[in-house]
Amino acid sequence: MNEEDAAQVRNCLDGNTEEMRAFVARFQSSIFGLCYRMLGHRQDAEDVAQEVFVRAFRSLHQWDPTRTLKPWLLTIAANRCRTFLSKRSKRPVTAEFVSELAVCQSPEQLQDLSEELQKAINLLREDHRTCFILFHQENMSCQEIGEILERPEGTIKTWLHRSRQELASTLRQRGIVPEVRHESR
Amino acid sequence: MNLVEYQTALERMIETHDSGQRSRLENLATKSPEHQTAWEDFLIVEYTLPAWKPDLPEVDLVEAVMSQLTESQDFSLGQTRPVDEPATQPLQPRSSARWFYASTLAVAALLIFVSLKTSFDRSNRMPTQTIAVNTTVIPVSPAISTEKATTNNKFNQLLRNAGAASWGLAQSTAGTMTEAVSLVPVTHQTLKTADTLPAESNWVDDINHEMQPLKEQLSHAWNFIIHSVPEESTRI
Repeated sequence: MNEEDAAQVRNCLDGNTEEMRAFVARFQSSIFGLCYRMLGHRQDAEDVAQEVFVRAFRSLHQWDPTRTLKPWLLTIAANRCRTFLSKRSKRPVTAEFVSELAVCQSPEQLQDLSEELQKAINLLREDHRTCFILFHQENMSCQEIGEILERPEGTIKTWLHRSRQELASTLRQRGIVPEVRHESR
Repeated sequence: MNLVEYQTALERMIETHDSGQRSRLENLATKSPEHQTAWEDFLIVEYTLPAWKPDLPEVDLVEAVMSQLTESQDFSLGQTRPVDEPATQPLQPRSSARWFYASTLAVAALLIFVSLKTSFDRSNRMPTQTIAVNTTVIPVSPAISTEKATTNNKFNQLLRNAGAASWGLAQSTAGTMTEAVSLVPVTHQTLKTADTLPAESNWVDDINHEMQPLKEQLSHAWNFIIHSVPEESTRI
């Protein structure tokens, strides 16, 4: 059992608002990070991240002390993102999101590797995307991701490598080619 | 090192974040064009990741979350359980759920098949329309007429019961399967069967109509399973 997690949860359940603030401050970076990477839209990510915390507080009494808090919260966040994406796919895509997904052609923009990678990530399958973000953004192991997404570790590894292959393929098509150097023999 | 071994070594290096083999794998990349492509794919992602990882906007959700909690008049910690809260009990293996759905489906299909076969067999053996005509045209003794009518009614009742049971089962199974594959992205499809239905549908047509979404869901579930298992084992 993680004593720090358990103590913080106890204090939150007692209604200690300072502890609740500390709770949000402690995890907001990870939760917002996942939401932002998954949804590709800042305002949507903020809304969903807030909802994640509200739901987490409401069900905090059911948290299993044998589990660490962060994966538990990330599971809620992944589920909320999935629900949000599902709802968003049923309504017309806003102009803002279209512009974010638009393929940029100018060489200047192609230099922005971060933006390029994020755009390629937005094109990934939802479960592949979650897997890639948790592995590379949150530095989680395949086993931890498997627990969060409730999938076998082998499936997570497959998703991770397929997502990397797809990303490499997309980035390659967009003109991003690494400098390959080989030692002369 | 052949290509499969090379890719396996690359994947292991990625999974473990252990770059001890990196220079060795880099040198082996010249072995064939396929080796080279695998190495370049690895490099492309590794090349962009350092630019991507720190590129997260700053955010402060504390006040927003606290105000949301305050605004919820009925809020108290631990009052309600959201639908997507992760299970706190030991997780059930997903395979058992799949077996449950598969079993339900198999039982439903079996029942429908048996009821259909039984009803068709009886229909072939008993010319129901002729009996109905005979009972009205040919004068027979009241006892025989009553007996035939009772047999007919029983048979019709059996058919209706079988139809109702099969329909109910099909609806229940369709609902269950819809929940089971809710993770699979489903594109909206227009029901073409509505146009082809006869003007006066019977319960067999109703079952067929009811099974249509189930067939579509099964197709999605199958696709989901195919995408979930390692590519190496499926060869797809």
